[in-house]
Amino acid sequence: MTEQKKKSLDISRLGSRGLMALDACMHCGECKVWCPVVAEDPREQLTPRSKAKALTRIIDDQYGILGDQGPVAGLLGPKVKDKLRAILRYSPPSASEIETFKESLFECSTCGQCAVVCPAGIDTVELWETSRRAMVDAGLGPLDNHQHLVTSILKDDNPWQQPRSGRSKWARKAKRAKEIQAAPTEIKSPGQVPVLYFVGCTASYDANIREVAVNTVNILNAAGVEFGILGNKERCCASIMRRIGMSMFEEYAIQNIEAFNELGIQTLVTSCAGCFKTISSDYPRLGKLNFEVLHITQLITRLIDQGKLVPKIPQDIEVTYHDPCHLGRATRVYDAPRQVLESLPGVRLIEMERTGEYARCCGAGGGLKAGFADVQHKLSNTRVTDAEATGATDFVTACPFCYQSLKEGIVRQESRLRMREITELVVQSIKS
Amino acid sequence: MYYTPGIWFYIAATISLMLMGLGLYSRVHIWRQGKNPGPKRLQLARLPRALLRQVFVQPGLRELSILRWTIHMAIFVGFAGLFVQTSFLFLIDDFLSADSALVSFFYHGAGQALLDIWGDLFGLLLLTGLVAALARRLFGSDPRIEGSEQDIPTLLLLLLISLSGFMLEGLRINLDPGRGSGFSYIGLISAHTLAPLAGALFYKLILWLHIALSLFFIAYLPFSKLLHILTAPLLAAFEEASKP
Repeated sequence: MTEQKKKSLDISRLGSRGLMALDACMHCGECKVWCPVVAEDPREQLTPRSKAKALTRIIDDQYGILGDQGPVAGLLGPKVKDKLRAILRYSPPSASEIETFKESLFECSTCGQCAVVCPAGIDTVELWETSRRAMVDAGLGPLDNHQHLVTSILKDDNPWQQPRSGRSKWARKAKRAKEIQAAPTEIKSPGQVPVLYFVGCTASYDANIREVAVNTVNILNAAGVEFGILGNKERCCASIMRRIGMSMFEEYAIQNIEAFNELGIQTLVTSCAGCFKTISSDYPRLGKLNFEVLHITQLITRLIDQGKLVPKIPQDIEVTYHDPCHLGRATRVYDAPRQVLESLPGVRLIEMERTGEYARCCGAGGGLKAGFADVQHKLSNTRVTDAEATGATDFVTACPFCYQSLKEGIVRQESRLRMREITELVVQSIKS
Repeated sequence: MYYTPGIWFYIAATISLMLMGLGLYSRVHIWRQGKNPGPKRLQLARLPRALLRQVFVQPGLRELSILRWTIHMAIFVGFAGLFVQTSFLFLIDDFLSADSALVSFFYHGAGQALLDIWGDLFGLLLLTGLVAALARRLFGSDPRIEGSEQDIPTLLLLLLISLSGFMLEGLRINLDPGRGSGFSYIGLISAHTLAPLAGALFYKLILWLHIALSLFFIAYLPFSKLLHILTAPLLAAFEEASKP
């Protein structure tokens, strides 16, 4: 038994339903044929069913009949257990098996495709995320490639290794470049504005993505929405912490919830699918939110319905839309982005073969991009190929992180597609 | 008349059920370690309907593949039908007196035909499903099929239980020709095929083979992938009854 093997796995976080789910897996293999990671790296160990099997073996070794924390642990002495193990030819999971499981567990974008197709209805995203947490707590994760993300968030409140003081630089730059009429209000006191625009780290710090923030501000201004931003006080939503199993997620989430609630806002809107999923789905498990959480596409459809936003300038393009996993499968916002696109004059939407809840993941999320960049590249390349097959001219998404990854995929594939973020198309239709 | 296993069967069955109980208890012990309530709230009032749907309709698999659903349903329905029949016969055999009306009805009256048809129908369903499932694994090229060491032996175990059941029916007809068996069509085919082997010893051998395999199946269930028979519909029902 190696040192690694001896580490105890606290499975309480998996929940009773998660633990039962491991026993409900019938190894039918439906997950295998749909998993976007397995499509690019077809090792059986990466299939959700194999991960479920490996995890069951690790758990059984500890909590099963012959385990040290098993149901009859107090009744059977070590000698009897050893005898029984010998009779049953039982071999405990080896250190290399555990290491393989760890790598397989993290070589996953937690896109949730396996959960959609699982005939037993296993909530695999919850299962993988809680398993990652249990592994990390036992000192068996995250991956070395994830460490810089954690360090950066802890030091600067963003995963991009950028200084905290530079978070609102995008707004100042946009103001100087006259891309926006005025820098958005930085909220200083409770009740100052009814809407908080939570920009998110990617749009704040990535020079190639800051357009998303600029476009969002222009949309909100055009519709006369009274909103503000947190400026340099905005902190990472800590989505990546949750995805890779770090306990610090909870501290970040609780502090953010308190900070948001103190603002006295009615609505928090974000243009990042990852932030949206984290704040709208993960935060409420840790504290009550005194406001509604909207993705920008949901707010745009509302503003269009209210007549506050009138897209009128035709664009004459054919677009195909990529459902971000965090906006689609995770939070079931499939219609709003499509309604937005359909409301734009001259924009014709052509769906990809795999769309909606079957949309192939671009691989950007769940820590896959940081952990396994080569695999992630293959995923986004394949998604670009999916988009090309539609014959569309423009490839649209509603997430800065997907946008970034797919744009890189387009360059790698030397594709003729133009990568667009949905807010950009909206701005094109409303600017005077 | 033919041989009945008596006390040894009850001893073996008790051991098998105890092993099954221990296995199930160990699984429940693991499930109980989970303290995180998770993001979903179970709506108890919706659970019974969801459970019935997941057990008898199995919508998850049906949406994915009609062929696989049909094979799975044939195995499930066949198995469930035979389980109901076996349990029913156990109850009337062991808890009712031989001259009671119910026993007379099923062993000497019109109920015999019902039992014959029931056994044939569900046995045939099970057999067909098992053969199709085995064929899919042995000759199919579906990438979903696992190179598992568990799958084929488990299906073979069920197939042997099912085949030995039909053999027993045939041998019973041979050994007790006075017993009406006009509606046991498969039983009659089996009786005809096994006629040269029909004898008390062979019957005893096949009966014990059938018992041993069936009891092994019961004891093995919680320690194998077969556990999904209980957990998959239960979990799917929980998920269905937790949807907002």
